[in-house]
Amino acid sequence: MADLNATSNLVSVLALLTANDSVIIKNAEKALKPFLKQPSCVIPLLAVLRECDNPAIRHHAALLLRKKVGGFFPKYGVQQQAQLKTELVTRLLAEPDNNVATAIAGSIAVVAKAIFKMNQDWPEIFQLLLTLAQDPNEKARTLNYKLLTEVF
Amino acid sequence: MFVLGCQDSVHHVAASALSSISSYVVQLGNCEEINRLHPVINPMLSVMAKCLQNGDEDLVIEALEVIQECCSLDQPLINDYIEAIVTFVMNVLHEKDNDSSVQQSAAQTLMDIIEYRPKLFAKKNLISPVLSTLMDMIAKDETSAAGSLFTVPNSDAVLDEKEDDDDDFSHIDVPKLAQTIIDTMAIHIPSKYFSDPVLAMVSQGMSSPDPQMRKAGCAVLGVITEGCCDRIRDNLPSIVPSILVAVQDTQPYVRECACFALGQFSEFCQPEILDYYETVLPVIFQALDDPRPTMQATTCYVLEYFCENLQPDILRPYLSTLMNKLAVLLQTGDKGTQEMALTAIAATAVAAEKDFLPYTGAICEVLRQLLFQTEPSMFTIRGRALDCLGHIAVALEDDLFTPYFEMGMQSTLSGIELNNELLKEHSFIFIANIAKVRGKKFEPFLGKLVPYILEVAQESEIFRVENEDEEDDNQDQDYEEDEEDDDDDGYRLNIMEGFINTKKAALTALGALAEHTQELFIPFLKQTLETVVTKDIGSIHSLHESIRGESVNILQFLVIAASCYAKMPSPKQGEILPLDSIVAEVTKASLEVCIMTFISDDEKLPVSNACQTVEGILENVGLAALQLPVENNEPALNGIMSSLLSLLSEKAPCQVAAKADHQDEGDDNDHDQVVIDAVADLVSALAKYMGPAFVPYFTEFHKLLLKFTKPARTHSDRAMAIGCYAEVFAYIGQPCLNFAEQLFPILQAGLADPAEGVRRNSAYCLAVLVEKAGTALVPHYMNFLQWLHPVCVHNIESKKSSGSGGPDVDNAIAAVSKMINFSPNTIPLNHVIPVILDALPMHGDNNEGPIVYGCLSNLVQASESNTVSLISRVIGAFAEALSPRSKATDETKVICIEALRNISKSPYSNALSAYFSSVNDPEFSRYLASILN
Repeated sequence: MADLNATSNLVSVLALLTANDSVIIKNAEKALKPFLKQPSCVIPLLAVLRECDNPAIRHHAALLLRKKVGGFFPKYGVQQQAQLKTELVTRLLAEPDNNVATAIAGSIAVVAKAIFKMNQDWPEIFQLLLTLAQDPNEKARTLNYKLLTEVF
Repeated sequence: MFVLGCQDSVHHVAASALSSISSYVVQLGNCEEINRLHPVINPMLSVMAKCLQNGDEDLVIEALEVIQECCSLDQPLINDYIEAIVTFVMNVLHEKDNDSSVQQSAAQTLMDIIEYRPKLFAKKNLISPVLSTLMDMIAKDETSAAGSLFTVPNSDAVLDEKEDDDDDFSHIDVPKLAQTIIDTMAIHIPSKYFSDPVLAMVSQGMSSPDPQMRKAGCAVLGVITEGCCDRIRDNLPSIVPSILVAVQDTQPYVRECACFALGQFSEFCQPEILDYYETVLPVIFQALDDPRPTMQATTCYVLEYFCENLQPDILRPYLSTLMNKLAVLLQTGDKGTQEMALTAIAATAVAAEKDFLPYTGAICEVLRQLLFQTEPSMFTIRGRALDCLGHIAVALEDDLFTPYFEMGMQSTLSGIELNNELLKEHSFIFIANIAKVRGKKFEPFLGKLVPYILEVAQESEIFRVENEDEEDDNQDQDYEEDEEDDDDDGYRLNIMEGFINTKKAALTALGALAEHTQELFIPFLKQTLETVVTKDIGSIHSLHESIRGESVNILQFLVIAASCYAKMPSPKQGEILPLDSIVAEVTKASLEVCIMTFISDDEKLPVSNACQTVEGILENVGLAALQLPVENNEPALNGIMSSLLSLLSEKAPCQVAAKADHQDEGDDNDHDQVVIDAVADLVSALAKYMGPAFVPYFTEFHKLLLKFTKPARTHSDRAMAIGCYAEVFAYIGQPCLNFAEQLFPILQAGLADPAEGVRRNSAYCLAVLVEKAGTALVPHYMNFLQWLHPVCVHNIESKKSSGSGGPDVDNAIAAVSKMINFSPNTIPLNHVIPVILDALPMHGDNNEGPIVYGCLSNLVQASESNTVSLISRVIGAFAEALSPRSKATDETKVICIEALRNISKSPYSNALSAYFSSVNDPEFSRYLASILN
């Protein structure tokens, strides 16, 4: 079985999820299952968001990230956590596709909840929200409220 | 940020902000912090308006749901914005082009505001404008508004204008929506605020030259009847003539709506509406001839409720005409009309009692054709036929019904085998009725039926569902098995009406079987008790109010079965009977359930039924029940008394649930039609069995009961509280003097009250005080006479002209008679005796007859000068009580016969002879002569 930690392999499997054939989708899900059980799966998923041109595949990566990142976040070291937070915000701001951006906002919200649950703070997120709210770009403003919705 | 977002010039940014606010509100819930969102409400409404313009209905619905959520919160977030929100939702409702799902959501929002903030809604002056708009909506709709709340069976067949399809979201039933909102207003907004404006609008509508407005006026009158029944009862003399005119309107929709309103009066204004039988019945008979099936069915609905409470002698002259007309309807090919006719026949049978016998054969032949239908589309009518047969059984009682018993049981048993919820429900209701009629003779069926009924009563309300979407969902599945936030375990609550009704009917049947087969039910007693009380899974823990209500209700009947088995004697006041182990076990379990219901149930019906069950237990087991150890090994008495304190304080969970209205303190609440009367009855029952030992408890209850007597409370509250005092005083005896001084001003005001019920109970209470206090109150007698005098002469004239009413007068003259009995010398008999004679014969409360006629008899015996100076009138009063049309009790009649016999042997025998010779009715004359021999 291909190593899904490699971005290209992961992209190939995620592409199968967009197929119209339920058997293919089931097989892809089966392949993803062990990969998604590892805390390290977050890194290749972020890489897909960063590198893949296909928005449908990025959307699947973002959805999977949202599903998994909350559970794994407390298990990461302080430095990894900081990197993850920064990277998620970067991806959100850079994401051109609305659906993918919403899913990334969901990931950020899940991380924020995990942080608050640990009685920790994430001041940057409030800064991000304020910045987005006043952004001249309407997409950014919309994203702001989507992110808020997800955080709630 | 939220305000900024809502004010964003780009619509989808504003829409995202709105969505975000919705999530935030839901997340915050009932915490105080939510009130910081005050500045957001108005901008939010602006975005909602824009969303509507842009066709973004889903978002508007989401936001309306958030407002609905806010309504249910204790926090006052929306209180300052009620007007703006109501304006918005009314605009949504009024705009025909809006999507029906948005309109439904708007209507729900309005109903939530009314339900949770009724007084605020009133105080913001929203009643009139909202009512006016809603009435206008009903008027403008081209269809009939009758039956929007009352469902005509098989309505798709009879309502030919349109189909009633809830799943069809492209169409919205505007009159139905408007009427549902008005119904909510009538039920939740106190009468003080609601009755005047709504009745004014109804009156205006009904007298309009525009038939659509007349239709709307009648429809609204029908809809508000349940919620405003106290006020409508008071106004029946002016309302009934108008509604009868409307039943005969030239426009069919006006007739239908008027008929619907009359049906509502018959359902919710009992017994006062029955006083109008002479004018109502002919109009109803005429309406039965209306060719429109909807009109026929609605008229049957009126008959169902009007007839079931009529006395046989009142119904008798009308019975033949009525049955002929109903028989014609029963033969029509229209299933809906047939079903309603069956229901009306059932009610008629119950009212007619044995007078129904001549019609039984023919009706049962028609029923036979329906009772064995196996085609599912005929199950409703089969069920109604079985109900009808059960009611006929109750009317005729056992012996006369015997020829039809087997037919009913065959239909019941075969109906059960068809495994249809509806048929099961009707079968259980039939079993309950037939058990009442057959009593212990029903034993041969117990072995076969009870295990099956128990099985139904034990059915789980939770069921497992298969996830049909599993195969189609290719995004979010299969990744969640290691996550903990997956709450959807595939179990659902069964909320199907058929399931709920069947389970409830099964419990009713078990209760009836226990009550009427008594000790023969013992083999099933334990299992039945377990079915009700078992922790977590017993029916008392049902999520459905009606099932909990019925569960607690039948426990008293299980106690009856156990008591009969143990051959317990009837308990007397103050007596603690030894309890057999089975009686103790059932009683203890039942009381535990009742106390738990008092403490924790947030619905009124189960609590009201728990009051009745405790009362029933007291009647069968007496004081011994109250000593049984329940929670924390404390006697049940403690739990019951503390629960009653809470209920009389109006602070029990069932009384405070669903009230987020911070305006709710005060005395302007409507009379609680469900629970408070049952509480007062239980207080009386405790006094009955505890006697003077109840005084320390009543001293506490009294402090709370007083508030119900205030002038600001409704007359039903005042009548209930004063009636409760009277009952308790009757049972505790002389210690009632402890409360007398505080009661005097209340009774004085009560005797001058505009409501007859208050006057009646006040007079009765005063009579009880006089009786129980002995001579202690003699110094107050002149005051009492002054208070009572206006009541004694109040409606003598109207009483004589209408031949009805007057229980307040009866109780007032009974109070006066008791005073005369105790201390004739302190009473100015020269003034009082003529007043008593003017007030006779009794018309309302014949139970007071022995006191009044006994008093007159004693005075004649003692040759009291003021009385014997009126001897002809006194003789006339005694004779009148014996006349064929008299409603006097047997006890009264015995007193009157004895009095006349004594007079015949007295110096006043000439007056007696003169009276006898003046009697025109030869039969009565012979009767009077015979009693002297």
